Amino acid sequence: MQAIELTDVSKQFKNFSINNLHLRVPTGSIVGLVGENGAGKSTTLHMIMQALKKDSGTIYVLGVNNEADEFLDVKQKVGVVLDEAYFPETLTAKRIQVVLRNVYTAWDDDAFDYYMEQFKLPYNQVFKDFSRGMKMKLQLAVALSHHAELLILDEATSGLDPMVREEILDIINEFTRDERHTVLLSSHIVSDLEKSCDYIAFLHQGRLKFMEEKDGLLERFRLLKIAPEEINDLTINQAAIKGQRVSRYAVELLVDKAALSSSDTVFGDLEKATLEDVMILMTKGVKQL
Amino acid sequence: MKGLLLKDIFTLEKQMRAPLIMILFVALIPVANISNFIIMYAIIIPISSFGYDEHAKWDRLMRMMPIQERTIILSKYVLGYGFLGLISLIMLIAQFGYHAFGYRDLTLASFPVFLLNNLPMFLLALTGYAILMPFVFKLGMEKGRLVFGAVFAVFIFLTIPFSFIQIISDGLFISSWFIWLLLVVAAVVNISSIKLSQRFYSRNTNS
Repeated sequence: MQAIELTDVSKQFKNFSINNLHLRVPTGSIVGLVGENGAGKSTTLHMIMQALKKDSGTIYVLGVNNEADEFLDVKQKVGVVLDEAYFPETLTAKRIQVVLRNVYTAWDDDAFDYYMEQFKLPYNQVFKDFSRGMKMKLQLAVALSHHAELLILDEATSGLDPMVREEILDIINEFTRDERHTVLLSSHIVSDLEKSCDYIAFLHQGRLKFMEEKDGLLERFRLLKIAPEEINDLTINQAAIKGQRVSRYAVELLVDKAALSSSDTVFGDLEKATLEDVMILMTKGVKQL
Repeated sequence: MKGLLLKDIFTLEKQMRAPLIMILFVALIPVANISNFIIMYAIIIPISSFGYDEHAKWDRLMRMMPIQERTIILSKYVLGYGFLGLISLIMLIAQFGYHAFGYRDLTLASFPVFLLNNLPMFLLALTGYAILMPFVFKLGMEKGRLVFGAVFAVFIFLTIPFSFIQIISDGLFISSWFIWLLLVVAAVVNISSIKLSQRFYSRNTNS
C-alpha cells in the first residue's frame, strides 16, 4: 500500500522542469526526499498537495487522485510543515488554534495543548516574536493536532540548531510508531535524513536519480580513493562509477558495488560512503577518466 | 470559511481600531456628502488583509490546507461585505442620531429616508470593491493599491454630482429606479468579479 504515488509527473517552468517523476511512498515509512537547492523537492511536495498544478501525470495521496473532489477530505488527514511558518505575524498561538479549529474537522485541542506544553511554546505571544525554532515547533504542533495520517515536511529542520532538529526528528519518529502513519520529509541536511529515514529518494535537476531503502543504499555504494597518477592503471566497469570528485592529490570515485565485475582491478579499499557522499558525488556526475 | 474570516478579523483587529474611531468621529459630523468618502475608506480595511497575507506568505500555507479555492475567494468578498455593512450601519445610526438631536426634524417616518440616503453609497462601494478585487487577486496588494487609487478617483468623480443632488434636495430625493439600477449593477459586477477572481487565483496555482 502506497501513501503517495506519483506516476509520470511533469511540470515545466521557464528555467526548470520536473520530468517524468515516478515516486512511491510506502505507508508506514519515513521517506527522505534529498537533493540540491533547486532540485525540485518543494515543487514536488506542492504538486502532491495540489498547491501547484502539474502539467501531466497522476498523483494519488492516501489512495485518492489529488485532482478529485474527495482530495479535500484527504487534505484533512495531511499535516504539513513548510520551510517557513507562514502564519500572519500578529497572531498568537491561541488565535492560530481558534482559526485552525475551524479549518480542520478533526482538530484536537487536547493534542494541540499537549504539543504546546511539550515544546514549551507560549499561547499569548505574537508569532513575530517567536524564534525560528519556536515557529517550526508550532507548525509541527499544528500538523500533529488534527489526527493526520501523513506528514509532509519541507525543509522543516533547516536553519535550526542541532537540539531543536533532534527534538523534531524524535517527534517524527514517534509519529511513525503507528504503522498507518507516513512521513515524506524533504531536506538538504543529509545527516537528518540519514538518522531517521527508511527510504531515500534523490532528486537531481528535476529527475529522480533513485529511491532506495537507506540501509541498502549505504551498503551498495562505496568510495574508492586513489591518487591521480593511478587513474590510468585502473580497470573498472565504467557503469559502476556513479560519481567522482577530483582534487590535486586524490580522486574519489563513487562506486556501485553491484555493478563491479570480477575482472575489475580496484586499488586500495572501498570505503563506506555516507549519504552525503552519495548525494554530492552523484550531483557532480562522472567525467571521462 | 469561518476559519479564514476569523484569521482576517484577528489580523486586522489592531489595524481596525484607529480607522473605526475615525469613521465614528466623522460619522457624527452632520454633513451628508461625507459618507461616500467614509464608505470608500472602509474598503481599505478588508483590502489591507491581502497585505498581511502577502507579508506572511500565508497563501503558501493555506494552499496546503483543506480549503477550496472558491472558499478562499469568497471569504475575502464576505469580509468586504461585512465591513461595508458595518460601516454603513454606523453611518445610518449616526445619521439617525444627529437627526434625533435636532439637526433636522425627526419623525420615525424619516428613518426609511436615512436608509435610502445610505443605500446608494453602500451599493456603489460594493461595486467599487468588486471592481478592485480581481486586480488584487491578479496583481497582489501593492499593484492592486494603484488600481484602487484609480477606482477611488473615478468613484469620487462620479459621485460628486450625486452628492450635490443629495445636498440640494436635503437628502430626501432619491429615485427608486436609480437605487434599483445600482442594486442590479452591484449584483452583476460582484458575481462577475467573483468569477474573475477565481480564474486569476486558479491560474496562480499553475505557476
